[in-house]
Order: sequence, then structure tokens, then C-alpha cells
Amino acid sequence: MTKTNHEKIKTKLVLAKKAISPIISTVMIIAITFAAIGIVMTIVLPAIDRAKEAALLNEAAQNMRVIDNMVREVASEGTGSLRSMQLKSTGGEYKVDEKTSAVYFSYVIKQGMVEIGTFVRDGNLLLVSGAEAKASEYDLNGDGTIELVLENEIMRVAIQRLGAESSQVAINTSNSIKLLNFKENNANITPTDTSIILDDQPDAISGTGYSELVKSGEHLAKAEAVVHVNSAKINYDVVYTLQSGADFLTAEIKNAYYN
Amino acid sequence: MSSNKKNKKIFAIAVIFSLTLLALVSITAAVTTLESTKMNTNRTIISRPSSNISITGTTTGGLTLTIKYDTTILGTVTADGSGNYNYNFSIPYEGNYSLQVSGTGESNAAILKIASRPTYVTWRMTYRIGNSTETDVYRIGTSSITNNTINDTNITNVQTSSNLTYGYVCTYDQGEYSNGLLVAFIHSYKSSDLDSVNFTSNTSTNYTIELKQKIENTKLLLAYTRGTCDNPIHNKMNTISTQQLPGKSFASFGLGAPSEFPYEIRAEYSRIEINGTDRFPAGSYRVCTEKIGVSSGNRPIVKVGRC
Repeated sequence: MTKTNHEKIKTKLVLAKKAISPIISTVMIIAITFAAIGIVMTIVLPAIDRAKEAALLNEAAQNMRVIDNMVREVASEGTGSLRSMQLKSTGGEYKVDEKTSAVYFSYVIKQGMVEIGTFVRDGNLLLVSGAEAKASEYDLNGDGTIELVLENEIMRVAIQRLGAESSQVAINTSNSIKLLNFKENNANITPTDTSIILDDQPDAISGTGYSELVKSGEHLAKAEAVVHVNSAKINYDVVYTLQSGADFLTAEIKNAYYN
Repeated sequence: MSSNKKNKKIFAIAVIFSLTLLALVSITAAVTTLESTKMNTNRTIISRPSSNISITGTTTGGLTLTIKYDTTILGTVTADGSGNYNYNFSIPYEGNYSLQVSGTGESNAAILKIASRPTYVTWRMTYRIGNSTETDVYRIGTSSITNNTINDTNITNVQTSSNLTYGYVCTYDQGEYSNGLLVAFIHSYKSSDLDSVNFTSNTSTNYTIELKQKIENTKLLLAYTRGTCDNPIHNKMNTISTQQLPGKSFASFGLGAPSEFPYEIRAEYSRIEINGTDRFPAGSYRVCTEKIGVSSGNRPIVKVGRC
């Protein structure tokens, strides 16, 4: 008795069927379940969080535009003019600040919906991320004199504060940087000489002049101070810049020319 | 033979084209541009002797303007139909000049200072890291010289740019701080604009680093961060040559950008006085804005807060 081809294949398939061990199948089910949970945890949930963050930032921008329009409208009208809105906020904080004459929305970015270092103007609004530089005047090194202090998340730099544009005084660049402070371990460097020499002329180190902050305040993209020096032969400005998030101070010479 | 001639011709054209391009670029780079509307007698404009100076502005269409310094008339320029004009000149001699642009109903003036500029700046810093120099080490950006201990010894190490792989002089403390702590002078911009770096030490309690570079376009980076001169400074010097530092926002040598950071949307008013200190965390609120008067500086006062 000969088998047909169809019967032969059927026999082979039947022979190939093997029972799967209940233990292996249980392990496989558990493994598949864990893999599914892993995918949800690593891909799906972050995607949901990012979408939530994006929605929150859109909502905030929209709310801030409405507030800004209301402020400008009533400001252009007569005293007693009034506008109101329903502010619905799902996160972050809105803040009215009469000291800086501003309204802010602040939020901590966790899902990277905004790139760090963003500094963008959108109509009347300014969108800023990671801008934690600060420029202020106080006695950082405790020597009893006020310094120009540039600060960011990483370091503080004290620049000698001297004179003013209208009352220029003797200035020596060897004392320009009074202190470097590394915030992580509060380590200080106190330079004894920070001279600046132009064209190898030692008398360019000193002269008359003044120093000033370019802009004082908090939450700046960069903190900047300028030391104006009129030496015997050369006049120049030294611009010190501490960017938000930088672990280095940038220094450059501007407006330098021979008298 | 004819192919040789053709190649020579192409080469000659390429040379002429390159030289023309170079000349155009150098001319463009040397121009000092003044906007006449921004001119005022308290403003000093500085330019080098014989540099190209360009005065641009907008006035009544077709108006002829006279440009002069002190009592010398440089020339005249006629504004086009839209009122735009542009006048180019140069002054070969150093000095302070009263520059004036005038025509019917139009007069703008400023002080024009023609002066030479210095070429090089030398940055110097004398200091020590931590309490003593015993555990301090220095490194200069050459390929041959590696880390050298300082330890109050007499050292003078001057390296010109031709000897340097990277333009830096760095010191770090390898004993007093668990993560290391470094101070470095780093040249930022083209390596051809660096002159030299220098490390000197004697038996005093401090040592000195110096970096000499051209003034035009360059920057000095004074790095103060955790780590050693090898890592991150030497290892990250390519970020300087590729201009990621300091061009890139939130760039650092030894510390990465944080995963969480603050974000703000600001509505700031210079011509309106905002009154109020209310805060609104997550939730639903009725917010009112009301004009409550005008300040002494003639700025409208707007109260912003809960209704």
C-alpha cells in the first residue's frame, strides 16, 4: 500500500508536533509580559509624558498671550478699564512681579520639549530655558568692598568694581579678577595678578577708567561685566562673560586703539 | 600639448578668480559702516587709518548731501528715489575729526577717531589651587610635554604656537579635591591667531600662566572646573577648534548639561508699570487686569491679580 504525497506530508506534520512543556510556556508568557511592560515603560510612557509637557507649554504660551493682550489693552485705555479671563493651568506657575514689572510663567523642563539655552522672542513674549546666569553687585570675597559678581549654576566670578563713566578712577587690570568660586565644592581661587598687556607694553596694564555690569539681574542667558581702561598709550575695554551653564569665563578685548 | 595649454589656462583663470575673491573679501572686511541716523556729537566712531568707511542712511528722495570732516569737504552723495544713500571714503591720517553729513533739513554729526589698533593681548594670572602648590600640576598643549609637577620649583616654560598642538596652559590640583580641580587659559579662534603660552613658577606660594593672542576675533577662555588637564581640557580641545565652545549654548568642559532645567515665558513691560504679586500654581483662576492710574513717570499702572 503506497501513500499519496498528501498523506505523506500530513504524516510528517503530525510527527513534527511536539508538546510544549508547561514550564517553558509559563516562562515564555512571563518573558513576553515583561518585554511588553519594558516597552511601555521605556517608549510609551515617556512619549505620553512628552506629549503632556508639550501640551502644557502650548497652554502656557496661549495663557501668557491672553494676559499680555489684556495688560496692553487696559494700559491703552482710561483708568478703571478692566479685563478678565479664566486661567486654566495644568502645571508650572504663573507669577506677577511688580518689582520687575513683568508677568512670568515658570516650569521645570523634564522631558526635553525645549532645548536648553533657548532664548527666543515670540511677539511680546520672551521664551527662555536654562538661563540661570546672574549679574549683581555685592561683596563676594568678604574684603569689605562691593564687587561685580557674575554667577551661573557652576561658578561665581568677582570682578573689581571701580568708578563710573562720569567719575573715572585709577584702574589696574592686575586686580580685575578678585575671586573665582567653584560652587560644587565651594573652592576659591584668589588671583594675585590678572594683568592684561597689549602689544607687550607694560604700561597698558593700568590707567584710569571704570568697570560696570552690562545688565544686572537674574535668569540671564549670560552675565557680563566690562572694565574700561584708558592707559597711557592705549584705550580698551575688557569684556568678561559668564554664560549660563558654562564652566569657563570668556574674556575679550574690545574697542582697543592707540591714543 | 594642447591639453597642457588648456590646463595652464584653467589654472590661470582659477588663480585670477581666487585673487579677485580674496581682494573682495579683504575690502569687505575692512569697511566701517556708519548709519547716519545713529550719528550724534557725543558718539565717537573709531576706524583705522586708510580703512574704508561707509556712511549709509535714508533721507528725502533725490536730496543731495555733503559729507565733510572738520572743514574739509569729502564729497557729495544724492539719495535715490527711495531716499537711500551710501557714501564711501577713507582718511589716511590718525586724529579726531568732526564728521558731518548735511543737506537741506538734514544734519548728522559724530566724532570720527582715526587711530591704530594694538595687535596682541597677553592675559596673565598668578594664583594657586588649594592651600599649597605641592599637589599642583601643569600642562601645556604640546604633544611632547605631559603633566609636570610644580611643587615650588623654578620653572619657566614658554611655548610658541608652532610648538603647540592645542592653545592652552592648564594647572590642576591632584590631591586636595576628590574630583580634581583645574584652572586653564584656553585660546579660542584660529590657531594662527595664537602667539604663545607660558607657565612660570618659583619658590613663592603662587605660579603664573600667560597666553598671548591676537586681539581681533579671539577670545580667552578661563576654565575653572573639575577634572584634570588631560580630561577634560586636552581631550575636549577639539570642541574649541570646531567652535562648539564657547559658541554652543550651555557648553562646558567638565560638566554636562542637566536633564532638568528651568523654563520661563516672560512678558516684560518697560512702558507699563505692573502692580501685583499674585502667584497661580496649577488650577483654575479668574484673573483680572485693571488700569489703576498713571505713575509719576507717565507710565500706565496695570494691576494684575485674582479677581
